[in-house]
Amino acid sequence: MSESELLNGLRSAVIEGNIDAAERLAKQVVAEGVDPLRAFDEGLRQGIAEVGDGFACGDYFLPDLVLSAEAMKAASIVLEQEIARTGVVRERAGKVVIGTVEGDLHDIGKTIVGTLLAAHGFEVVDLGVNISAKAFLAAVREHEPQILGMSSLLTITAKELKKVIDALQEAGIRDTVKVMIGGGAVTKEFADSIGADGFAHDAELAVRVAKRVLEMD
Amino acid sequence: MKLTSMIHAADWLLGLGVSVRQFVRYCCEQPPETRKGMPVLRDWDLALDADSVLWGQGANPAVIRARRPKLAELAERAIEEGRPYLAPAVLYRRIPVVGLRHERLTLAGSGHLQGPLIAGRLAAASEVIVAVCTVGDGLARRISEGFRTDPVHALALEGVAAAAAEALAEAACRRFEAFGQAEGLQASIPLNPGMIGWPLEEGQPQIFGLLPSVASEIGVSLEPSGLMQPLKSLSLVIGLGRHLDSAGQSCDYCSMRETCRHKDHGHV
Repeated sequence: MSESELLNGLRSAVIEGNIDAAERLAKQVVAEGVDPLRAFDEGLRQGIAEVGDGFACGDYFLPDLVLSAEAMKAASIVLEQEIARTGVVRERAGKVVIGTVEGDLHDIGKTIVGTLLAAHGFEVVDLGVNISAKAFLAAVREHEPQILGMSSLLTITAKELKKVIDALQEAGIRDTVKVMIGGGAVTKEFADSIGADGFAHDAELAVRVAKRVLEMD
Repeated sequence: MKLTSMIHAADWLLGLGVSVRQFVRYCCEQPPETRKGMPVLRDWDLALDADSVLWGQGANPAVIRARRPKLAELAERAIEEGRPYLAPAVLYRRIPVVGLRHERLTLAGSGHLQGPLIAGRLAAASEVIVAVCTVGDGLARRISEGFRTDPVHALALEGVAAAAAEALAEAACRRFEAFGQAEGLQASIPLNPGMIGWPLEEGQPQIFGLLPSVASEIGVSLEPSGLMQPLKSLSLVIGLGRHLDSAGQSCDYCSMRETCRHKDHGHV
């Protein structure tokens, strides 16, 4: 198999959500001495980007996205090991702290956002659900993320999002972190009104917005 | 209900225009256990299939079957795995309507429901059925843990839980409609707190206030945020009346209809 066939195969395995094939091809990349960073970019990232585009326009659905992310993750583990072995430093997309605001117990959407962000090379710290403004503040201080991502599915808890942003402001660290919000209760207008840096109503969009707020695209 | 209490209640209700027939039905028709609590229905055979589980994950079944047949197979397996962890229960109460004024629907026994949606859809109701439905939290822990190790599988179980809650609410509504049909009454569409015209933070306390035993009877509690625990629970009200408008569907009043991927609204 030529190098381009190998990379195309890796891309296809991610698109198809074929976890076994993704892992097998990643091992083949390593065995044949193909640049693992190139495999990441031209194989894995292009594959997940295509699935993401499909999700955004309604052709792909959440199970597709999660399955492709798992395929990417399986291949990533193999490639990361090779990258570590060669001593090459892989550029991380950034660190993201995520959580659902106080009073809200919804978990799934936030967790899927975390999965996708990790698949796209972000380091993710998931605080869980029902997180107070104080706890978000403490997490930002501890982990020093580039992005703080918060979810609120309920209109009544959406006010907590502003509370966190205000707490960051009062603590003098608002400028150290980009704030992204999402969830059923959130709109772009609301995000703008409370001073959030980004807004996304679904997991795939969250990844794009994360890259945009960090000016990666 | 003690005789003296019944007499006082009758006096008051008849003064407000509630018919004798409605009052007698309210006092005598319901099973004895409602004197202390509300009727609880647990005999549900939930209709779950792979399609409903896929919709529960926000996926169009026809597209998934064509593109990822293994996800459809996983949905089938998830039903078998998840069903034993479901504990469907519905607690309900049937209450005569006393009157409507300024979007406030006054109910027998000093309860009320209030909101533009309530006034718009239940103005012609002679009685309402308020209910809380739950499938319990047996699956929730498995789902939460599953996301750490096998997100695809966990998402399928989440689809089962979502489909089960939806199936339970639909089955309950059909049963409530049948109550009405047996008496020549039409039923409204089910209304849920959080719909357009009935904010969650207003509607949930109204329903829970009318069902004081819901936590002890079926284990559903209301958080200050308006969220119910277990999460896979639904609250609703259905109106019954001889001249009630039953046209339309609940989705017509859902604020997330434009981006919803859990039903075929024509944009999935």
